[in-house]
Amino acid sequence: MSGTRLLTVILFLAALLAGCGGKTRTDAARPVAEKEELGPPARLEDLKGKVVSIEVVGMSAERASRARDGVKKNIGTAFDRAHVAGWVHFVASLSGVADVVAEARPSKGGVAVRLVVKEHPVVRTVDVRGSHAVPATEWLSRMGIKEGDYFDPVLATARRQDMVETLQQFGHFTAQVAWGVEKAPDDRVDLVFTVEEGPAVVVSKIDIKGNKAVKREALIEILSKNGGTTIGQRYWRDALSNAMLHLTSHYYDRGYINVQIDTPQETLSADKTAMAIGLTIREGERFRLGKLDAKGSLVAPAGEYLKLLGVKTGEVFNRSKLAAGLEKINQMHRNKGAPAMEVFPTTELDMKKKTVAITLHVQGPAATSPSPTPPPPPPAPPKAP
Amino acid sequence: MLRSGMRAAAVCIGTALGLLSGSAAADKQPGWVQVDRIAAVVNQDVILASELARRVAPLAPGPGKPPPPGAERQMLEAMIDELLFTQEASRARIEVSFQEVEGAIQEIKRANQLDDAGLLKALEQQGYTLELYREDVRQQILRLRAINQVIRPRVVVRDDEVEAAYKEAKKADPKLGAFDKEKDRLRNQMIEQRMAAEAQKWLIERRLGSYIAVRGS
Repeated sequence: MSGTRLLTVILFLAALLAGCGGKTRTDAARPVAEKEELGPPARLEDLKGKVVSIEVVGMSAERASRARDGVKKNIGTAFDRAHVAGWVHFVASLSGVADVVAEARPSKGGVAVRLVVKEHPVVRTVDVRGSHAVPATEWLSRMGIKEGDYFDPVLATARRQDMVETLQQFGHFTAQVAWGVEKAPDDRVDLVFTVEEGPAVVVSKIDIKGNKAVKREALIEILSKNGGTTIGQRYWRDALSNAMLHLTSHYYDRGYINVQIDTPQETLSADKTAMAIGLTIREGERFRLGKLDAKGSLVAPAGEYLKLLGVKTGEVFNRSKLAAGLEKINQMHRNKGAPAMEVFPTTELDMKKKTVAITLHVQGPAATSPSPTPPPPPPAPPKAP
Repeated sequence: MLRSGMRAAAVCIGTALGLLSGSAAADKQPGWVQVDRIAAVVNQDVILASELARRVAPLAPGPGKPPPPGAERQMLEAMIDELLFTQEASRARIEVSFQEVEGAIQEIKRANQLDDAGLLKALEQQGYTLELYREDVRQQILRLRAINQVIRPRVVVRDDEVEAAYKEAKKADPKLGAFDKEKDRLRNQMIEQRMAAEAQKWLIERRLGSYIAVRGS
């Protein structure tokens, strides 16, 4: 055999082998073996007729079978790309699924469909690095991600967000948390949360605008109450939010029932270590008490109710004082053997006279009424025409 | 001699392979064709390539022509934003009834002077079925409600701001009507502008706290 003929035979055999599927598939998401060799990809317009089969590949047999159970009822229905989209949505919603590609081809009697799935890796370990304000063990105990779970980037992102919010509550306003995965043996991954706490932000100044009835010093003292917002100390958003409620109550107790305090303006310094806070207060008008009355199933004369309420017509409206008075009335009910009696006040505003009339409604246990104490502040008056 | 022999062999092999693959292809079943895929993951939801294609199709300059460069990516980003609002609606348990969707579709038909057949034809041209369109309208109503519930409370327009805006506008256009006549229009305009700005701010915050992955084709 001449050299040329030998070469021809070798190349011919090599070509035959290549043509007969001698190539090894490297894509793990593809089916392990196809029973029949397929030609070039079909055209979308060739996909007509009924769905004759739906395969799910790229998952373990058990998971693929479960996924297939969710879509197999569609076998026998007319092929429709909109339906296939629904199946992709369904399979994508299953745990551990990272990607789904829907493929189809004409087959005997209709269209064969397969959903090629790529799964997320399994988690080997979870770690939190760089956390000092909150110990890593604390984070891990509330993580909800453990060894053996499918890695879930959505859950990891949600946990990252929770961590940032918690750190902000601790005054680390610039805290950043990132997650990443590191490859581990057996196609698993190590999930790592990296925390950059940043400095604890300090309150540098508090600007208050619009206060006339209440002095700045009094407002500053309210803000700092109960470890709240104090110049020179750690900024803590929850404390500031809480202080807003105390500020409002302070005004309610001084007759300013329509007081409005805007959402605090927070200005972080360029070096992100100091927070300047701006408060804008619209105090509104001061209201006094108008007519007082007690009605309903009274267990004592109306006068006694009003005496226990502890306020008089003409006095400046004071929510805390009214709350204390209502508690005394409840006590009187208990003393008189009627603990189930309920008292709830209603208010009526006179915008011209700037007064609030209060009527106490006393009802027996059968009545359904809102919670009797403490009295809510009067409703905001209608806007002047 | 050897070199020319090899050339002859190569031609021969080429011909043989051509014949071989040609005859085999004729017998083979057609291979798999991609029907759909995930275009983006947005938290627990996905956007499919088919959904993106349907939204991009009307942007093409003509039938059978591709959309302008960058249109697909821009639309995908818009769809991601929409999905974030839809997810917020779901979190806030906002619901839209079938009747509300039907009412909206009737309104769309009326505004576009379409009967049922006309609507179906228009939808078909855009690659929609009525079922898909109903779902699309439902999602749109959901998003609007989410925006009203989430963004509207963040927007405050004070009376003094409306007055200041009126003074500015009056300076620019002395023919502008009296304040009482113009104030509601100005206030609505300011609310609308601030809502758009707040919505952008909300989306930036939400994107930072979300898992968003765009998949290649």
